[in-house]
Amino acid sequence: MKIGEVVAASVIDGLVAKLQIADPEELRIAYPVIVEGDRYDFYCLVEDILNEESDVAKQLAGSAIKDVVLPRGESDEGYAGPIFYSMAKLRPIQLIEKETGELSEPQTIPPYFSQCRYATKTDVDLIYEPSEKSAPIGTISGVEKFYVHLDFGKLVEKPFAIFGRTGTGKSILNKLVCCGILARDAASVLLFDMHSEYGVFSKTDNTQGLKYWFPDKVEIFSLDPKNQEAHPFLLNTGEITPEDLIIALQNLSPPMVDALYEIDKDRGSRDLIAAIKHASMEELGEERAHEMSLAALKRRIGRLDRLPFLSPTGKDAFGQMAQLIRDGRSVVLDFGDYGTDQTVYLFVANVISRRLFDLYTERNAEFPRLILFLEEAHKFLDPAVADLAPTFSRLARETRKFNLILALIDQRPARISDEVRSQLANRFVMSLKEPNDVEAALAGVPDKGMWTNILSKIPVRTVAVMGDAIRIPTVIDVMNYDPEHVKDHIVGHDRITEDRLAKLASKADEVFGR
Amino acid sequence: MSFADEMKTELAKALQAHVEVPIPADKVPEFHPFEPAEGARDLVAVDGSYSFLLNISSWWLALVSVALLRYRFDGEAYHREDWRLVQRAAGVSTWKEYVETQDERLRALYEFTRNASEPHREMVNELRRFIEGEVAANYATDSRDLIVAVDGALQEFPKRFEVMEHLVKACERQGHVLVGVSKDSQLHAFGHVLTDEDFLKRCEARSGGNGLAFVRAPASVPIAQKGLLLGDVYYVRFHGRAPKWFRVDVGTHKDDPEYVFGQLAPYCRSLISIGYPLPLLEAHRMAVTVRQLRGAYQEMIIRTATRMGMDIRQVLDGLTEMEGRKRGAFHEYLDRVSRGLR
Repeated sequence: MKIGEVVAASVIDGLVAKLQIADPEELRIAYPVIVEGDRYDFYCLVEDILNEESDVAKQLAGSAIKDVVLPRGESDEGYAGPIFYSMAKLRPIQLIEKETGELSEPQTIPPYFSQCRYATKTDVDLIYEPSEKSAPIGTISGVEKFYVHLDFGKLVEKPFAIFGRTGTGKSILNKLVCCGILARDAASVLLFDMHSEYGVFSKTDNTQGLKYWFPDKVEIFSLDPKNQEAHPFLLNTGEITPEDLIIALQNLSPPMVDALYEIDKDRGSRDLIAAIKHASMEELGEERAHEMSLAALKRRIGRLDRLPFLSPTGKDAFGQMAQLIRDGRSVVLDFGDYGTDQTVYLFVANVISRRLFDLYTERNAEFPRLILFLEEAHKFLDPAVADLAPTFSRLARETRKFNLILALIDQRPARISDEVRSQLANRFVMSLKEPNDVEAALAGVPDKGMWTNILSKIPVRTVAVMGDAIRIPTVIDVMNYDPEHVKDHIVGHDRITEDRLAKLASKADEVFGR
Repeated sequence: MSFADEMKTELAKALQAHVEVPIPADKVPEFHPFEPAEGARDLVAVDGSYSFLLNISSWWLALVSVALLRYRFDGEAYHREDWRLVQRAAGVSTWKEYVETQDERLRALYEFTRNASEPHREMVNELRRFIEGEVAANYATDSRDLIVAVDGALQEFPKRFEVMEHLVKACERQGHVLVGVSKDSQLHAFGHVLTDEDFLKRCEARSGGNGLAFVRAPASVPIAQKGLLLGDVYYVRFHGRAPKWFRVDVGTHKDDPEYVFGQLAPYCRSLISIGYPLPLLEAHRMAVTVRQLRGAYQEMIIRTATRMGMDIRQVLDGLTEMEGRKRGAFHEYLDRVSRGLR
């Protein structure tokens, strides 16, 4: 259906169309639109919709005259369409050569008066061609139901991120991404499951977790000893380093950090936590530590000292976890009751990730590709801690060489260092309110102005996807995370048999103590 | 006496003559109220415009554009159902020997306008009216039972060309309502210092009504007209809040003006043009694109003329502004300089 004609065009600034639809409310930001040039179809996204200022409109507005026909789009048709018309700013994203269907970058403009119409399924089919490793995560707005495929093979090659403020649907999107990765055998995943969402069933909304869909591929570890279905997670306190504590405790003052390193130097065979507990000014001396800083450090370490999964006896689950990963399994580390304790999360995530980093860099050939999902990523990657705790910065920078890929999930992208953000090959950006977060989420993205406009109005459960896992940057309505959609579009129907389903379901109550 | 005093004196005289001038009760014409029709016929509006493109001495090249729009009103909205845009290029000359080499119509126009102050403009203006009449007549011949509204008075001149008469006959034959609506009329048919439109505005309050109404023009109107008048002349207020009265010439259904105006009134309800038919406004907007696009047409002239061997300087020198005045005319140069100087 024709919606307008091009009245201005620029390769740099995009196109302007005079709309011929009676009601501008039919069109929305980020809808895909086709502009029909002579040689190319210009696949565009709606960047803005506007009613330009008009002296006549100003003069007529507020008229108290009765028995008149108001000049609105649907009631007054002038010699060239509605007398009062709206305009749309369109951003060409891709050119489709009419004869061959070949795609290319928009390096030219269509002629004046080129017709604009809504994109159809046939148009988008040409752009989003499915591949062996692709699966959809949702549909495009403004087109008849069309599931957009994401190439999970390409996605897992380099670090990526999911950005969005609280309540926008990051967890649902992340589950769909994980399902896509596992369903297409693109990689294994490791998730730090703070809220028990990714195991068999989600504790928060009772939806299916990864273990439900992929019982043979996913192993659950739990910090909570009550969870009998999961492998128990124990951590040898001897493996703890100053970096783990700097991340876990956040905002340690520089004198406290200095004291921490001094204690680490002298700890000998003792673990670091025990060494801090027993450290004294007599041993350290005033030149190496300040009395107040040492006292503060001891107070803050007290929180970790009481954690039951810390094993001073040397027991450690990391070896078992690493073995499973080497065998191609994915791991969900369930935090159980500790999920609400941010210190625990930061501490455990840092310890595991650091050790995985060491493992992958030393014995890379033995391990399959692993995607390490990191929630609250800015707490690990804040420039303020990045120098003191460099594991994640190094992970982002280097580990694609070693098959260990970082996936960041965060609501404050502005607090992630530029260097790390610049390594992201794919971004899933949901609604963000802080301008500096929008700016950071879009750093380095072409047509940033347009995406800023789009993100300022993007609804919840909608995501702008940009990067090499998708043919063109696209706004996607995230699909419902329910058995029907996940089975139909990602996992497939033959993956879970009735028997296995019943068996899993019967265990769900035990797992969650219902 | 300073110029300020002179202004004051002149204003006082004009106010006395035009605003404070009494209108005796027996001079107030008869106002006939009418109602808008429930279901109006489709309305075909025709209007034209022209633009001078090139001038070489006493010869001008003009482009005439005539727009025809057919509208339907469903009680709530105006729908454009059909359209035509006819464009004709014409060369007009004010030099008799040259005119004698032209066709009969241009020769007649020359004769008809030779005493005008700017005969080239008058000629093209009349030519526009010819073409408007032709376009309207052709459409009227191919359709039935419409309202055909043309811009301006329904009159014929030079008399021997019968274009408007042809239109009237076609409309009679096909059952159309034919009207000519004048945007502005400067007549004084009511014999008053005020123009007829202003005169009626002064009288309307005393007529007792403020709704839709028409007034038959005095018998003196046909005499005052220069050409052959083909319709009955009325002044009409098509909406209770219309800002002015319009002169309307009725070409068919002459025995029932109330019906004619009732049919037209629904098309005069758009907030954009209260009291004036929206389709005529749109036809006007469509026709005047010939002026807005003058630059594009002149580019075409430059290309064609230079390809034909004309000196580019001569072509550029002959390009015209709005009313056929050369861009290179000396007073145009003075105007530009004056605008540029502080």
